[in-house]
Amino acid sequence: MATPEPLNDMAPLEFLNQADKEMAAGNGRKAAGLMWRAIEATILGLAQNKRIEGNNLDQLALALDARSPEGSRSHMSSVVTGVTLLEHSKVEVLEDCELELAYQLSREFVANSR
Amino acid sequence: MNADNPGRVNSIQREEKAREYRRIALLIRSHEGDKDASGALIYEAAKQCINAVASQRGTNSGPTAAKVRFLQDLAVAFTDLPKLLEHWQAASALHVNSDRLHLSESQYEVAWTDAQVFIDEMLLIYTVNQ
Repeated sequence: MATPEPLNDMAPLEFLNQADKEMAAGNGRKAAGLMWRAIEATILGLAQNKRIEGNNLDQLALALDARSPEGSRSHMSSVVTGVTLLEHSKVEVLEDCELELAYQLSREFVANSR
Repeated sequence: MNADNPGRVNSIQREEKAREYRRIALLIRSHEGDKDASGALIYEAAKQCINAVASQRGTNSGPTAAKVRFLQDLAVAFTDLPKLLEHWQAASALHVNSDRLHLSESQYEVAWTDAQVFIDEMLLIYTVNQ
């Protein structure tokens, strides 16, 4: 039996762990950027596992949503939150409470997406 | 309106504002196609929804941090609305987008839809509480 490709599973969690460390150290903007990488890696990994092809992350997330039960938009919604976190990593656009909520929701998405 | 109950008067005013902001946001988007302004107004409508429900419960939701805390409590209480916080997050993303224009077309569409659902969910909570 072929060994499962470890990168697809490991990369998002590695980003997540790094993000958690930065968040705990009070580096919110750095944590936000790493969380975006975790979301990006999660979407890419899920699409690869389901053999979904697409030219960009939006297309992959929408395709994943289309295959989810009850027309859930959680993949694309997570991308929306993710790009907002990415923006925060460049320029401080979120208040602390907004960052914490966006981070918490993204964390749940990455940790629970398998 | 009941002048003897300022909390109730306040909640009614907030709810009316929320509906009005949303109405104008929809108009601006459909007539002018201005996504920045309509997104910003949807965020304002979403905030007014929080204020309306908070006033209804005799509290002042106050600044953003207090609004988020209030929403987190609501999400715990209303387990049949499991994506309430996710939908609020969409409104927040539209708010950031009105300044930063960081959302792609597809992302904006999803954020717009989710934010509309957030407003509907909050107005439902408001109605149930009446």
